[in-house]
Amino acid sequence: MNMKKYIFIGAFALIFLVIMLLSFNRSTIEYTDFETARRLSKKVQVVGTWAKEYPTNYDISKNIFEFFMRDKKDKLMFVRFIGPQPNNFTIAPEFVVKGYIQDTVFVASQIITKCPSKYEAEPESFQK
Amino acid sequence: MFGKIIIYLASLFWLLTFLFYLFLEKSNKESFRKFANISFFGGITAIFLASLFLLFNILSHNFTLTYVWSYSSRSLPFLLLLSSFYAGQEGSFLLWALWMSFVGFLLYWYLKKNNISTFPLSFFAFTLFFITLILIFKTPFADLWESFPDGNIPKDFVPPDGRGLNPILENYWIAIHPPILFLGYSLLTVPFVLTLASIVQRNFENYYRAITFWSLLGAGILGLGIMLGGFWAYETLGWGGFWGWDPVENSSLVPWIFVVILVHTLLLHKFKGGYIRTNFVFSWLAFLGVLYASYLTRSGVLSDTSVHSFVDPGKIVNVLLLVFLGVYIIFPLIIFLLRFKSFERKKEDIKLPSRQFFTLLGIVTLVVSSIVIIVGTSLPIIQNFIGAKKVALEPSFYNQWMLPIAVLMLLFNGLSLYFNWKESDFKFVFRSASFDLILSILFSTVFLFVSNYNILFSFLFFTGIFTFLVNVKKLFKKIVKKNFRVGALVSHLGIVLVIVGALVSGGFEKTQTIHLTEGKKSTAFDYVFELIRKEQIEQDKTDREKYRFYVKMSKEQSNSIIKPIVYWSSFNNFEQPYFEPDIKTYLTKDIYLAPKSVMFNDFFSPVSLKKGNSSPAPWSKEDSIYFVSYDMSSMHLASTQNNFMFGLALKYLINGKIYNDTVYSILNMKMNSFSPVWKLVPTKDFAIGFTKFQPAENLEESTVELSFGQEMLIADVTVKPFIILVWIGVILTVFGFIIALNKYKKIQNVYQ
Repeated sequence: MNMKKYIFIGAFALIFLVIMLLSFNRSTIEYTDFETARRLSKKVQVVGTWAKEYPTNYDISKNIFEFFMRDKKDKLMFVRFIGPQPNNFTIAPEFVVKGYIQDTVFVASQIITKCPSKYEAEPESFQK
Repeated sequence: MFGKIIIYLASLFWLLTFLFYLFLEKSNKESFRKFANISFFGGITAIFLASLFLLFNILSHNFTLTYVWSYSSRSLPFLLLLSSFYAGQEGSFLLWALWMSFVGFLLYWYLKKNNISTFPLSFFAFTLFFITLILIFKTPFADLWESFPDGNIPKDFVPPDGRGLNPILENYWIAIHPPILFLGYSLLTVPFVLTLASIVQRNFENYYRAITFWSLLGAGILGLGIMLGGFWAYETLGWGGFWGWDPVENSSLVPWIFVVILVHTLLLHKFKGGYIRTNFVFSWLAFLGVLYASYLTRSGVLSDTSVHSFVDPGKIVNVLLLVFLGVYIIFPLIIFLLRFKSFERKKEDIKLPSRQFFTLLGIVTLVVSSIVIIVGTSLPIIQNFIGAKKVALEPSFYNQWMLPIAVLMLLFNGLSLYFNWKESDFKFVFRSASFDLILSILFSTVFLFVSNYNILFSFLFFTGIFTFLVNVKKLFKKIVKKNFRVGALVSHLGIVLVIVGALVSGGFEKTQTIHLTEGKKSTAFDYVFELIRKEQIEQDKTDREKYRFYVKMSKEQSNSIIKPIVYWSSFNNFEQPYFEPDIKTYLTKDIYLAPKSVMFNDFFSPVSLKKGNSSPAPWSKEDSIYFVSYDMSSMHLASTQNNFMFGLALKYLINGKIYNDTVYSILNMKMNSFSPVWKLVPTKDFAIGFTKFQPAENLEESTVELSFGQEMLIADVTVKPFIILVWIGVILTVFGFIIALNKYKKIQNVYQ
């Protein structure tokens, strides 16, 4: 009786674990570059910088902001973001775009800008 | 110096308290009691004094202290100055110690009053010893010259002003949410030290009611603290919802789930006896959850994946926190194993359809949900540990798991109420359940059509309605009989409302984007939005430019004004705006307007000027703009190395009148970027911006470019159906804990 119970519990835990791992695979998004993103053709996130020598465009009626960015491997990519230009876009040293590659365009659903944080103290700042 | 000494003293006192209460228990020599009590109250007094001292330094603007300089400033109002106390890591540890001392005092009083052994205070003091140890290494009482040894700072240096709070925290919620959360965390220590003491002493009965009392209190307060955070995020931070499965939110939810499980396993003990080891394990896990949360949020491991910003506290504290966690895993485990045989499990068969059976199933769903959350939240740490490639986890992971878990959880709660603790007659139960079942099936079928055949949602809706009905019926029956022991029913009703509210408001929310400029209309969801005017608020504060936008929202005959806020702050050198949403709350839905971006539409062609020259204004040949001089006097406002506030003093001639003004731009040397700080042209409804700087040999020859345009606010309008259910649910849940508490207030009626 007791043995049976443990087998039952063990099997239950195993099934749970397997489902968990499977759902992990579905819900995780990799940090990667544009080249890999093209191969994977699934949702990924890419870190990079704004290629400011190219023009940007915001289409009011469609609420789409378009720009060029470079990933860490210096690959240039045209990015179409669904939403307005984030306000810290021009000053962010780098940012992360979340999305996938469609033909030649990276369609981003989210732009996460990393800001030069003022939160950590720098001794220079109070010596002036 | 005083602050540091008092922390050292506190640490010593708490160590002594731990040892003396331990000796007292071991030797039973009453002489130890005096020493134990003296060091206990010594520890409380020391923590209290340290807190008072820090508060005094904050209120008197003593900026020689790094902590005070980092998190407060002269311009902060009183309430926010109080919040500076715990705005940084050092202070939040002190707040934790302060609440622990307060809870310790209450616990002492409670144990004395109910004639329970003071032995648990030993373990309680040990926790405080650890927190004060962290405070020694991460002290809020360090002077600037100590914090920055390479900065060549003279010892008597006092900066003129502090850096102030992060503006998104400048809100009354910061005075409410963190203290309640920390009180909740501190309260969860008590059930753990009580159960630990009970298994060391092999006497669970002696503590059972006390454990229940403190678990209920902790669950109520922590639950309130968590949801107030959610409300803050929803109402002022503009995160769009009250819960985002962010690691920091998750790490506060896990200890709450464990303490809620504990409340249920205590109930099993009450009605069935036994379950002592189970109770120990869950009170232990609840406490470990608190430690784990403080490790996750403070160690910097989450800085990439969480919206809450945290900074690495430095190696020593990181290691200390891990040691803290390790000690509380290993030692209780040893004690547990030593006592394992002392609490033999009661041999009895669980009758299949009984309340006990369904309560157990409910506990299983809670355990599964906690595992899902722990695994998901710990992912960055696991990846770090095994050196795997870093991946981010989408909130959808939690939603996928929690939905079916919630369906079962609610179902088990509803079913459990039909049965007695031992065994019930199935036929009778079926007869009384059929009405509820039919009604819920009816409702959820309607829901199935409304939700476009979303089967999982309909299942949840079905169990939600069912459990709601069962609880309401039971509640009604009890109240009619003047039986007011209804805490559990009220809490469960609350949970049903929270879950159903979250499902409906989150699952069926819709978002559209609107563009607001003066004089133009924008439509979303049959509502017409129109920017009426904007008003600068808090003008007495020089560190910010804050505007309230008055947006008219109209549909057919009804009009209302919705007022989001956009502001710029010196905190980030006016680089990017901060936003606050505004919400119109109706009975059946919230309309949530969250600003996303501020843009400028160019109205006229830009004007290029050299210093000392003037140009006709682009809007009228009669008016003109004169570029008087460069203004570098605000350079200091930019406090990071690469940014400079670059000003131009201008003179306008408008309709024959002269206006003086200065426009600024932020020059980022590193990025070589130029961000104008837009400002309204006097008497006009459009703004001027200093958009370009073309350097020449010297400033006299350099050219600046001025642009003119109108501000456009881009905002998301989201309709959230029935989100009010969530808030009502939270209130009911917390209220239920308080009702239940009432029963355990007095310990005298233990065996009645």
